[in-house]
Amino acid sequence: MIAQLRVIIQRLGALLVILLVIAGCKGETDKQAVVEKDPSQPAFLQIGSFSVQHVSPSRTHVRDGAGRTLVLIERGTEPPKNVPATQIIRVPVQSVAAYGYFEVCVLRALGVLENTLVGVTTPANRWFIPEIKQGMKNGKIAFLGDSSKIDFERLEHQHPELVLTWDPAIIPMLDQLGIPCVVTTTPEAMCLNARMRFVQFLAPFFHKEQEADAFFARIRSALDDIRARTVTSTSKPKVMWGDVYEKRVLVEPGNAWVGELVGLAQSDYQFDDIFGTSCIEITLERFLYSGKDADILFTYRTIDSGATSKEALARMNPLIKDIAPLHTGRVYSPKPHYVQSGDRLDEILTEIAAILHPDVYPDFPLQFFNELPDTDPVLAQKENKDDDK
Amino acid sequence: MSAHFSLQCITMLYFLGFCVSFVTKRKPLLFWFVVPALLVHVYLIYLRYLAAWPLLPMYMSSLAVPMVLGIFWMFPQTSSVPFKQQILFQRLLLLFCLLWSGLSLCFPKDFYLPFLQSNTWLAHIFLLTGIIGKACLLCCAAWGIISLTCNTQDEKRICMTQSFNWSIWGFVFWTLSMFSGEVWSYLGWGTPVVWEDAVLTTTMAAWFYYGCYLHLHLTRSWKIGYRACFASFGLVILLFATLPDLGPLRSPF
Amino acid sequence: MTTATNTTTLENAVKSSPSTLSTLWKMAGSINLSIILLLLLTLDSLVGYFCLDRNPSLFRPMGDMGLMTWIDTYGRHNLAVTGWFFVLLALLFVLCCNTFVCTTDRTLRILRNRKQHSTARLLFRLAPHCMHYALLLILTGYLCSYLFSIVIPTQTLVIGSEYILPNQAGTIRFISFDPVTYNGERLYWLDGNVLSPKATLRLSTPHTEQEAVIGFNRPARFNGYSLHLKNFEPKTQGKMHRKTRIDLHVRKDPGVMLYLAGLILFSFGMVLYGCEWIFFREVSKK
Repeated sequence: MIAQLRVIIQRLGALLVILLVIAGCKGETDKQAVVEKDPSQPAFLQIGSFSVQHVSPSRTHVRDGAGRTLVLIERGTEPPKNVPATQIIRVPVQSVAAYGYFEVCVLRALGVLENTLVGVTTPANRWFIPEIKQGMKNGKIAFLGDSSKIDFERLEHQHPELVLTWDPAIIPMLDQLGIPCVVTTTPEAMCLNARMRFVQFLAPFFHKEQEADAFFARIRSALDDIRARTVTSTSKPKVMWGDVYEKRVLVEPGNAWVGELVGLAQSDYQFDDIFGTSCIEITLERFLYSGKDADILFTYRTIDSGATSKEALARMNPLIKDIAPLHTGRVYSPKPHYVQSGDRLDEILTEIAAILHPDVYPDFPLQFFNELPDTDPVLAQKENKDDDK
Repeated sequence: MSAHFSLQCITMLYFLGFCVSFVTKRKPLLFWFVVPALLVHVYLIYLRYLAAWPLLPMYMSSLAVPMVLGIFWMFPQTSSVPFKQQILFQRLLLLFCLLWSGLSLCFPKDFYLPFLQSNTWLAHIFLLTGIIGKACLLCCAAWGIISLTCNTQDEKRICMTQSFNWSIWGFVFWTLSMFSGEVWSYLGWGTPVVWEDAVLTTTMAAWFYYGCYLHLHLTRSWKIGYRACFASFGLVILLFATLPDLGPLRSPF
Repeated sequence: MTTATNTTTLENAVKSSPSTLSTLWKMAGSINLSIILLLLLTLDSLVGYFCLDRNPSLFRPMGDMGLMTWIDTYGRHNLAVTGWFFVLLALLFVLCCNTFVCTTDRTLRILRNRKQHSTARLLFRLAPHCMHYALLLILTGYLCSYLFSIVIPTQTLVIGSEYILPNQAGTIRFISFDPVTYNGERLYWLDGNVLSPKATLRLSTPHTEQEAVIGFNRPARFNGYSLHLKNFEPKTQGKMHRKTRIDLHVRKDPGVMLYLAGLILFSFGMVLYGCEWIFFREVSKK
């Protein structure tokens, strides 16, 4: 029986090797064919849940966050007949409406913000990006209304060739208007690689592949620097990123870019084992358990939403008042312009690394985060006065 | 009584039961450990279901498997099995109960909230048949291990018959679990396979392994000793199948 | 000379072909091969666990873009993580051949000797082969599903909007959204949130019109297509909720009937085998 088995294993092994060789040869030939078409571009690029496939020099297929396949064709070329008109995008795109800060930051990173952006869903007074402030002032960029109540007449008036959105609810209306759109949210949180490479997803829309590659190289270099510096650090802080809203606990999962960054910067991410969407909801018990021995908490709340001090956080969420970062550790909240600074991702990553390892980044000036004091400055002053009295 | 404390109690009771099983061969004495453990176990699973129903409690398999094993432990053994092997089987069941409840105590994965697609009876069948199937297959592995300790061919044959019987039931429940998962996948997502959870690969692995075991037994392709080894190795496969239910290491105290 | 040699070789080949074929047939249906294959499949699936774990975005697109396109994109460009899947496909293919040959062989043998058994006994003896054929049916169904399905992965509809199926096969209009909301303390995290979404669709062709309610795990069938609810908004009751929308996953899947039939056939075979095992073998033991 053993001899029989040996013969069968040998034959199966030979069959598998032949199959693999055939598959390998075929794959190699196909790869060569694509490279001949456009040597500078990879035939297929996966960026988290997004993908870019260069089908021919004048045609690229992209898959957006909702799993829709969009076809990018060169201006002036014949559109494919079997694809709905709203899934065909003529590139380079010349005018864009963007829903979120993230999309706007990517446009800025690609260097197309000033020339292409024509509509946003945030009013002028809440922007920190000078190009947008200026564009809104001179009327080039329009406020299209709040994201839940878009003024479609205004949108149509702006003639965007593309809408970048996180809200798929506008797709039917955009289909009626004949405006293609790209959904930028995904079922899973963006990992660090996807976050760095997202510019490479949007680059083919604007023929800005080189700029995207340069941006990616910049972020990679920042990451290399972080890795090299933090490896010498003696501390290994435990970090949590999330918050509690009434009874609902939202955290960044381990597969999110922040979780991966914390791991890369020689620190322990307390929710490393959690997998899922950004701002994933978990049980309160788990949050409190992870908070028992955490050193650093990054909260989602900004000063405007009440994150003025550790005491204020504990007051807002009595459930978390006992977690370690509120007593012995540190708590950081994002500054209001943080969400509009995605094009400075290298600086953000470095700042997070500096927060985790103050020993290797001494006197690092914080630009994107605030370290929360133990008590509110105003309250503390008042208490001091009361004490004096 | 908190869930964590309940699980601590259960693990402790199984541990004591396992230790005492070396001192006494009288089953009624061990009831004093197993029955309370089972009662607490039922309470714990009731708590998990209470926090999720009508949705599916997430990653509950490793928690519920020792309960089903405990229930199996209570069943009287068939008279054809020699007393020595019966004792060994009971001891091994207690060891598996201890191992699995220890795993769910040290590696809990109870922090995910249920998802809306699990609001269907198919999801519950998927979970429950999977749990029963895994417990039966563990019994099959237990008899395989016992068979390795037997001195005579007759004893070996009896143990392997027991192992085969359990494997049949395990395979049936495991298959039912897989099938209900497939129907659920079609109704819920429209696709034959849902790639979201890697549990599908370990489930598939166990199914292939026990499919292979049944073929080995029915065709008598391998000698009884080899088959006993194969059945025993099933324990490793089932431990692999438990991996998706385990979270990070937490202190049990 | 060359012609003569060729003729001899051909004759030899013809002479030897029945025995070669039968050897090949025997080899293909060998139980040892089945065992090796099942073990390799076990091993491959375990390797697959480590590749698939936390990497669903690589495999998820297969459900809507089909197997061939997936192989050409995600599969081929991530061989380190997708390699196990290719091995799985190859092993399953060989297993299917092996199962078919082995089962057909034995089924024919049983049928040839059918007069020796009663009808009930014959049925019970065929039970394992029924399961084997069912497995082939399930795997063929899966393959058809991944090769020939027409899929519209996400079609978003707001109330009043329409979607026209490919080739004008019909129109889907989203009429209303009446979710069941959970209110209570037991599931505190679900308090005020939708527990069971229910969307009413009007499905019309030039000749017919009907209404269908869809929800999670409750698809609707329309003109050969199945309509699955993939996502919806709003998920929360309250003032600040988002605009009502549903995301549909529309499929025309020729494999689904095959694999559902396979599941039923396998279950039937399993019940038959169970009956034989419990009643006949236990009785014969006694």
